[in-house]
Amino acid sequence: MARLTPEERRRAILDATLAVARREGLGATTVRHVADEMGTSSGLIHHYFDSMDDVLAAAFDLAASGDLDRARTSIAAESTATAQLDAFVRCYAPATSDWTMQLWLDAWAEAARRPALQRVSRQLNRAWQSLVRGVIERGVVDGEFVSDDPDAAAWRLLSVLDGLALQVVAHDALITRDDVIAWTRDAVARELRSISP
Amino acid sequence: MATTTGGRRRSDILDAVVKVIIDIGFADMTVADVAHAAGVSTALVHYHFTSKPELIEAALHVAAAEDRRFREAIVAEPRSATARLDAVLCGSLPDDASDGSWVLWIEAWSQTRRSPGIRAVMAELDAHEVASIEELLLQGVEAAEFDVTEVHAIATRLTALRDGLAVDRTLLHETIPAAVAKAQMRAALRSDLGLGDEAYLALVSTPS
Repeated sequence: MARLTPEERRRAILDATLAVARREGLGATTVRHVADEMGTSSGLIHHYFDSMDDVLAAAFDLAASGDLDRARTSIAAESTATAQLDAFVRCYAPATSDWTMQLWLDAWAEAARRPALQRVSRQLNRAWQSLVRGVIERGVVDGEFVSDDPDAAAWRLLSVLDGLALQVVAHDALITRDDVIAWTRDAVARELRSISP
Repeated sequence: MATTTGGRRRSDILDAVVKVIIDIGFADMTVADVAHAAGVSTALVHYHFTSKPELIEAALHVAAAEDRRFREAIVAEPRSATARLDAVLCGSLPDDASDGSWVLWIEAWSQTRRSPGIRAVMAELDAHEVASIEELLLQGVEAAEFDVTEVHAIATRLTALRDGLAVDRTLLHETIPAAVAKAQMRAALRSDLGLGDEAYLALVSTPS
């Protein structure tokens, strides 16, 4: 069996953490669980990470950054700000079965008690906001959007999507992903008075 | 007398549950933590509640009932529908990051997929809020304060924005001051109602 590099070992720990978190929830994931999942000792995990708080934060960062990267790619593939904003909404709106959104809910809950998770969720939140703000600013320059405060508009758009995502994931019987996309498009059109594609 | 004491003990325990959830979280809290916070024996907690999930659900029911009373009181006020929409949506945003009720709801949302009981409480709470906002929107249309047709979509979206802002406020409190979150909420409400700044202010500051 090939020996893993420290980087590969760290990654294996984070993958195992995500597998456990998926079953048990982020808050209920312990060093013992992760060690059992890997068939190893908790000593190995302590060797690579200072605390379980750090393990959970790094695992959450790994899963959530993937979504951010995919959104960046989808946005870069569009040529107008209107199409880019629409691509963002489609990337951000969760499916009912969306596992990353459940991870976000877990992270929000745990952030109140775990500083490392709070730091990571703040960083990701800001990264998403600056992505959206960039698209809105570009739309304003190109004359597609009207907004005197793209910064506030970006925060508002993220907040409404977070709230709608919450409703999809937390009580999927009430609204669907299609509702989320349609209502958000409507809000975008109203707020930014974008020219309909 | 015995019943009153029993009832008070039960509600003391439920108050303690909320505090323990906020401090420790669902995953790590124990019945002993609740007993300690309530200043009663673990046996007494077990006498009133057979399990930890039952305890958590009962505490959420109490908090949800408070939330509904807050809204119902505003809906019944003799003011314009616009002013009442403003009060329901902006008034429920957290003033600071330590706002216990939002920490409680964020914790509860994370559990809805794992617990049908919690899911039912949260779905009912959400449905009640959306229905209250729909009612206020219809009253506003009837009073010719504004004209909207997509009542359900608007009510759901405004509730979602408020939830999202509350989460952001609770997590990012150093970057989003309470006043900014309220201004964000108000801007979206004005935009959804199709009201200009002045028309909105006039409706919010005068009785119906």
